[in-house]
Amino acid sequence: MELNFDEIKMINVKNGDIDSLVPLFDKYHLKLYNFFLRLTRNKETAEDLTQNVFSRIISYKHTFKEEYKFKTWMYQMARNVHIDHYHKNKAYFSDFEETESSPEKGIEAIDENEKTEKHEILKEAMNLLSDDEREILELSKFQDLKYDEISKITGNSVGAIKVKVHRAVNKLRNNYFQLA
Amino acid sequence: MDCKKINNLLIDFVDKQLDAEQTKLVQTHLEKCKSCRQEVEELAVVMTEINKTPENKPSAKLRANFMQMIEEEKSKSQTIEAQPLQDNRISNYVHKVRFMNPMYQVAAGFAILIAGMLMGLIINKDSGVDNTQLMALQNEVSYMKQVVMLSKLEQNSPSSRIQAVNYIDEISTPDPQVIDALIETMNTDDNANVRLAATTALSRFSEDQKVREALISSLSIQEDPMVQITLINIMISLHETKAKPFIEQIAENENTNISAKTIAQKGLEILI
Repeated sequence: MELNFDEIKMINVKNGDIDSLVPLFDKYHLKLYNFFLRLTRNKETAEDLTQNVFSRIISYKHTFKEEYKFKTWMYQMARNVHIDHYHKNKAYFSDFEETESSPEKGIEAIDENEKTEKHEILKEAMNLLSDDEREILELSKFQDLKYDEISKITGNSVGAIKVKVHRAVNKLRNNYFQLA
Repeated sequence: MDCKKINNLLIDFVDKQLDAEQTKLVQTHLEKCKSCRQEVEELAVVMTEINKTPENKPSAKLRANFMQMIEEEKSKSQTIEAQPLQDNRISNYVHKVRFMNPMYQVAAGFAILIAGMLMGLIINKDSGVDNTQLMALQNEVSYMKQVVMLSKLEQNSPSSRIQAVNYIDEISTPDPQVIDALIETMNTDDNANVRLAATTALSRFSEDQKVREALISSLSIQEDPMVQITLINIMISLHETKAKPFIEQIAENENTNISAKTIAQKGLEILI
């Protein structure tokens, strides 16, 4: 099998060249950060969880196999990191989690809120979904993963994934047009 | 056409994930079905919004923490750290270097292996299994592994070659042919990571005079900083003073990577 950039780098990491993880971090950390940010709605948590993914990649590097696709493997880790976080914080988990904001963060927050009205509606429509629905939309639509990739990440069949995506998208569409 | 059947395809239609045939099917249906058309329009609005979702940027702390983690991990797995070092700490330091040497771990592994084999022999004596047969079988397995390794070293993909090099871990007494192949890989492979793996693999056999000389002379060939650092570390742990002139060259060469240079200078301080 011909190996691609990601897989070659990860094999290097597995063989002890930890520096090879840097290009993989540069390539994926934004995606992961946004993945966690949308799921947890907390910047600090999103940063911690992103860091956790890479820390797990290092701890589990010996389990990576040449025939794996790095991206799929990484999202498996990301999903587990999120699940662990969710269970640990279940008691305190709230949809209104907020970071204590330093002045610097305040400015950033204003920037992020300066979005079109449509984006606000989308956000709200997403918030009305269940955690599972948000996760499946996140993987399929925000992270642009293919059905078979999601199937490998979550362990569900491609058919089941299609049904879940279908339901979640339609629910999101209904929420969106009810709010609009 | 059945609305329900088409309905399942609409999301992928909007996302342009359908093949030509299915796309055509949906298009034909949309021409005559108002409610599905309405749905496609709505889906398109939502999907566009999703695709337009701006990416938020994490704080600079994230990358800084990540880089710190990488450095910590490296110092865990490397025998020497590029840290400023005070003279009076050198003996202490050498001591530390010795015990962090992966060769000790390999030695421990071998001890366990030999213990296991001895136990096997004792048990077999009682049960009457033919020992010569067992030994023949072991030799055969070892021979097979070496053959596989040599053929894999010829492969195009660097990772296959790294894998081949790592096979050496499973061979207790490699054939001279295998050693020669590893030396050649260390000195001539195009890929620095493969050279690095071969260097590390060879360091286990540094008791062998031929291997030791090959490692020393390789210092003058290698240009990749990781390989240079690994070789210098090996020389330090072997306390090989013959390597000094070669390490001096690395330390004085203006093209040497800064970390490799630091390690080379530390190496020279230790190898007196």
